[in-house]
Amino acid sequence: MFNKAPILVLENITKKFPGVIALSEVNLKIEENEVHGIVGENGAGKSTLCNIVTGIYQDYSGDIFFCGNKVNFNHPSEALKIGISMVYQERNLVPDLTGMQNICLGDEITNKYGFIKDDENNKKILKIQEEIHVNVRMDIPIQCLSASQKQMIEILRALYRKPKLLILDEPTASLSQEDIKGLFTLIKKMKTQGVSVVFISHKIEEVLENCDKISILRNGKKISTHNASELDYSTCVKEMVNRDITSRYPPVSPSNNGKTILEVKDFSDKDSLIKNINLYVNEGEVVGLYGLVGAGRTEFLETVDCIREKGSGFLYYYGKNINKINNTKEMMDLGIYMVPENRAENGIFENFNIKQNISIGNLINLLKKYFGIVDLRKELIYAKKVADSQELTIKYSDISQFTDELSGGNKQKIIIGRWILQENLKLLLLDEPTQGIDVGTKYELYVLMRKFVENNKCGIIFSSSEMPEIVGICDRIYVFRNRTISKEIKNRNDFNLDSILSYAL
Amino acid sequence: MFKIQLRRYSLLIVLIGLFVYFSIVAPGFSSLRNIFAIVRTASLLGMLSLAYSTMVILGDFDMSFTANAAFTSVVTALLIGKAAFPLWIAFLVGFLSALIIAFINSFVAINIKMPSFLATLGMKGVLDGTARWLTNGANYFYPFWPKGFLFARIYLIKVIPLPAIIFIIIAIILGIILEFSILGRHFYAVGGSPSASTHTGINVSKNRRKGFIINGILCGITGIVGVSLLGSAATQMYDKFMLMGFTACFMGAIFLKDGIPNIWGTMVASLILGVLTNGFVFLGISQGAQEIIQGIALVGSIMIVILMRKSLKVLNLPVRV
Repeated sequence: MFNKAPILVLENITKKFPGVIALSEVNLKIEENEVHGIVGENGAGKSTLCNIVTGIYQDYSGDIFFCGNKVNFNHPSEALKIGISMVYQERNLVPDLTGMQNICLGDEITNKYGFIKDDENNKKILKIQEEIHVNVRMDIPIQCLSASQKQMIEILRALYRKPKLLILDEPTASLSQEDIKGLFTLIKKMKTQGVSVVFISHKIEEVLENCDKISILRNGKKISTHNASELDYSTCVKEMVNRDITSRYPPVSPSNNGKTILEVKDFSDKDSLIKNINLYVNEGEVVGLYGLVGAGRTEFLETVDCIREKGSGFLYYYGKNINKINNTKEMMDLGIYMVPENRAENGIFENFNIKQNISIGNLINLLKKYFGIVDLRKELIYAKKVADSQELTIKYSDISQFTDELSGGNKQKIIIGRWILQENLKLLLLDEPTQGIDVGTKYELYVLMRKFVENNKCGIIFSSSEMPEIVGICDRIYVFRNRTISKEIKNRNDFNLDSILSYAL
Repeated sequence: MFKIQLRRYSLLIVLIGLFVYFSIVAPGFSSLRNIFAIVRTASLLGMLSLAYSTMVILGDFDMSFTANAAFTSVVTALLIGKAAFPLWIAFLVGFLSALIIAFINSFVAINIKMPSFLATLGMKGVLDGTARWLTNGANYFYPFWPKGFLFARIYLIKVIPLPAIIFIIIAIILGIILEFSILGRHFYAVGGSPSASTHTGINVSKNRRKGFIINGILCGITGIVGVSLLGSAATQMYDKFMLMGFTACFMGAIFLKDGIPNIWGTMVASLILGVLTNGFVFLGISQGAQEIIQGIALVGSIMIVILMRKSLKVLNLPVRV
């Protein structure tokens, strides 16, 4: 057997930014027809590495060899031309154009006068669609498509250029369970057609299951490359974080008949995005909401917190009917606080620094005696107390710095930190708090959540689409399906991954 | 660290530098009489820029602030000159008209949910047209103003023009509210991210409406001080102030806050623009050249903000950034 040259070889890649070494002497080999997973905490260097391989960064030391030839990109278009394509974590599509137009964007087949030949473009795409069995409408503006469908369009867009190497950055973050299965089938198909795939993800189980080889990055260095068959979860995590995490989740002490904080009966919202919800949360419990994207969890939490208008049904707080409350501020006065999903849009204030992002939730207690003036000294003390607290340990260099350069995990900690020291805190509503966060920070959040409910007679409603963490740290689970609750699982002993999934589909 | 501090106070240095420059190259520039003139213009411009900046901080974009002040001037002048209203009632009605316009703007922008840029642009058209119609296109001048009408020409302690005092008092009060108080912090939050504000229990609509009202109050005061100072309803002056108001707001963002529009910066930038316009007259620079330089100043300020923040999101411009 003649061993073909590896598709991609990285030799001693080093990339420095002012004040930080993002990558240090990274060596990597991707073979032909290989699915290669890359894992690492936030800040490990995964994005930087991809930016170098796709030609976005041209200023680095070390060598890149593609199909045996040394390459030096002056522009990302050069990387695209020779066959390196990437699908990013965030969508890069034009909302008003159709799927087909987005897929061909920049590479349309035209006649000699420059007019786009729609038929030819369509044919080319249909061919790709057939080969990989992807079913998504390409004739409507993509803003009408769901998150999963948009992702499919992006993947088609990458495949349209017939790449030899396809890099996928967190491709399953916003996909439903079905679509995730579809994606991995697609990746297997691409393998058989001579495309090598680099797969970056925080979901270690997915990486272990679907990749041939796995490389682990930590602090800008490549720690190791393993055959996926020889790598297990705990070794992988250990190498990623360099600490022994003996278990993924902190121990769960079941609650001892705490009082019922919140009870929801036959609850619906005004626009019927949720129907007939019945659930309750007791002191000392983390109650999980599990469901697929679109099942109604976020709509439910937003209606409870008065961001959406209530419809019919009842809401009780420690037995008292609170239906009449119709604004978020009054919910906060009761002690109910929400951490919304999508922290970039709904959580972080870009024009505030870290200190102000934390204090905005508690300004009323940080004022001087008269005239409603903010006491800057009190604010600083409070913000530092939150940021440096043992539960949160937010990593920052200066509390007066802006948040742009913080990692996703630190941003999430800031938003949670807004509420964590509120004196009247009784119930936290967390909507997908661990999305896009690395393993180490996730663990810190799990510890925080358990500690919070077990020590403070408080409760948490925790909404997530990641089954392992729901099963890992919740006392009870409500499964959402089709805008209502399909099942309540009352006992940790009854947590069964397959049956929970079946209730969600 | 020193570099950052230097950058933050750079506008002050520019202000002093410009003043010194013009004093040297233009004889008579630093005469007391001229300083009064600068201060009077800068006061009117300053109050309007503050009105505009307040709304920018909240994320709203007001195109009608100068038209609003001009309309107040016209209404006040006509009520006295043509309708023989008593002095203080005319002032009151003029001021109230500015408030009413602000309320209408807020209704269209908040309740009907039209982007504030468009809502206020439409209002500007209505106000400009109405003012022109009422005055037949000319500056309305009435030769028999009642005693007390020209109050804005008073000098306190014989040296300080009254408009300057009004401006400084308003600027300090507004600055304390917006930069130091909890209300101001809420304003910045709403401008920074309406969605995050809602999730933090801050009422976005209420705060935006407060911004419109503050804007209306300032435009009303400016309209009254303006007509009193000039002795006529000089609508062209207000037209020139519009672009300068935008510039003062975005140039002011450079001061102290690394690219975020703020009250103190708007104050200093208004002074800079006042010095510049006055200095240009002294140097005999043509009207056209002045406008070119002002345009460059506007674009240049925004470019500096981009360099400071690496994005334009914090300027709350009505465009996709």
